[in-house]
Amino acid sequence: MTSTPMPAPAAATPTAPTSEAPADAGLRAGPLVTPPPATATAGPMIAIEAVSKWYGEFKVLTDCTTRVARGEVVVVCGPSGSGKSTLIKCVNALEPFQEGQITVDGTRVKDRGTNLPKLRARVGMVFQHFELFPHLSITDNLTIAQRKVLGRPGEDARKRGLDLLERVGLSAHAKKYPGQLSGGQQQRVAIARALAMNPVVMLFDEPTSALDPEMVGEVLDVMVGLARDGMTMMVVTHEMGFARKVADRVIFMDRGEIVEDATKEAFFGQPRSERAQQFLSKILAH
Amino acid sequence: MNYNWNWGIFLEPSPEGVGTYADMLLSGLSWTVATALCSWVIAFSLGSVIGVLRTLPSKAANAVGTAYVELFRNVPLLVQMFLWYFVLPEVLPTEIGTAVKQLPDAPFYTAVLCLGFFTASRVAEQVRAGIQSLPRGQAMAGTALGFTTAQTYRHVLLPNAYRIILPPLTSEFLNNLKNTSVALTIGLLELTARARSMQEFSFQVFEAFTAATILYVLINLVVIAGATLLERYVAVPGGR
Repeated sequence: MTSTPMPAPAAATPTAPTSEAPADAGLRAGPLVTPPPATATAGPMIAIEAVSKWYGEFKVLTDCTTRVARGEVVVVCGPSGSGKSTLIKCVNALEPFQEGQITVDGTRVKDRGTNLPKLRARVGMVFQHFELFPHLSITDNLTIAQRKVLGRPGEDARKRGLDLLERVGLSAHAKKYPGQLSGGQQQRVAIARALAMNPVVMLFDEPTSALDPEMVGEVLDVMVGLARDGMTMMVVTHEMGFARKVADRVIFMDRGEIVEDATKEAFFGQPRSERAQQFLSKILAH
Repeated sequence: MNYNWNWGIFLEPSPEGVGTYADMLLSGLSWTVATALCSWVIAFSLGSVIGVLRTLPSKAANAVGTAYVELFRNVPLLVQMFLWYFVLPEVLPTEIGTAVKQLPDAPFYTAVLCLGFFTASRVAEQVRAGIQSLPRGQAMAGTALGFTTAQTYRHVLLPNAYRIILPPLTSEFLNNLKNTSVALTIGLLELTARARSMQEFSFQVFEAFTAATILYVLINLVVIAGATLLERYVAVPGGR
């Protein structure tokens, strides 16, 4: 696996002679993943503190506590039904939780005063089933949230969208519709769509689980590239190769609990818990 | 059967003094079309709102939507027509009730409201079905990008839901068009009413209702052709 090459940043062509410095100059030059200035410069990007969640009587998350530092890549793994997808969806409040608190870049997720749409706009999310908007062209998929949520002018949004599309190697498909792309291509567009919002952190919810095996690599390549660029990432995945390559930490969950929260080296070297050992032996056996 | 066929009847002057029997039927047709289009505007917009209410997480919104649908789809259209026309002006404050009764073209406005509210309950169910047929992740993706609930519906859910329900919505539009004939009971001079008066004046019942039938079929064929074009126009490349 190789990292996707970055487009040459120097060749930023000015579209029109402007007297004032363009406000989006940072978008055209520079690395595309540079997040906007964080609101809180100190402290972790994501702090999950004693989070518990119930579906009715059924407890899906039990007292989960962990942190994701700025620039850190954390992989969350565990058997199906262990609550890892639920936990990651709690981070941007796609799923409500009853107890505990999650803080993203200094903003408390469970707080009546929090503007959740605004918070979510700063948190990129990639889904298992891509969830591109089928009625919109790839370009519109990349620009609609920039325009409607961030209020970016159409031309700027388009420029940024197309830059990111180039970054994920799909420039040729700008005018197509999601239904005309393969799963791997759709997922790469979905990553570009999330990046277009200049997120401070990216969440991935099993981004390769719905893909045909031969398409897993192209998506992981993009994710590896992102990690190498310094993006803060929380990734739910079974791709242990990806974890070995770029993860800083690995979280292992089982039955709604965080069983193991260790550095990559410690986790793959010698997981402390028996459940993690069993999981690893099963998943690495083939 | 002892019947005097007279297909030339349409060109004979109608007893109303102006125009022929054909003009009479065509004026009925224009009332039918006007009633169908105006009531559809209400049915489609109100139905969309009610349908959306029934898909929101809020229990109150659900209750309002459900109450509306069950009320308007479980009372026969004819009864609703009578309620709007004969009962409503009586339960309104006296002056307003009188004003309503004296309104020129009162049967038209009443029929538009009645059909609009009735058909809205049916459109609402189609819209709800359309929204609920979308993968749950679509709403999540919109939300995750920072869309408000309204924006998620506006930009993600409804454009897809409408595409899915376009065929049954076409049927609903056709039903609405044909249901305008119920308004003859409150005195709207639409196509069926005109065919009936033609029959009463001329005794040419077969000619009158043959013409009405053909006109209904023709106008419905136009609607179907339009819907087919619309379906083709909004079809998503490579998708549903």
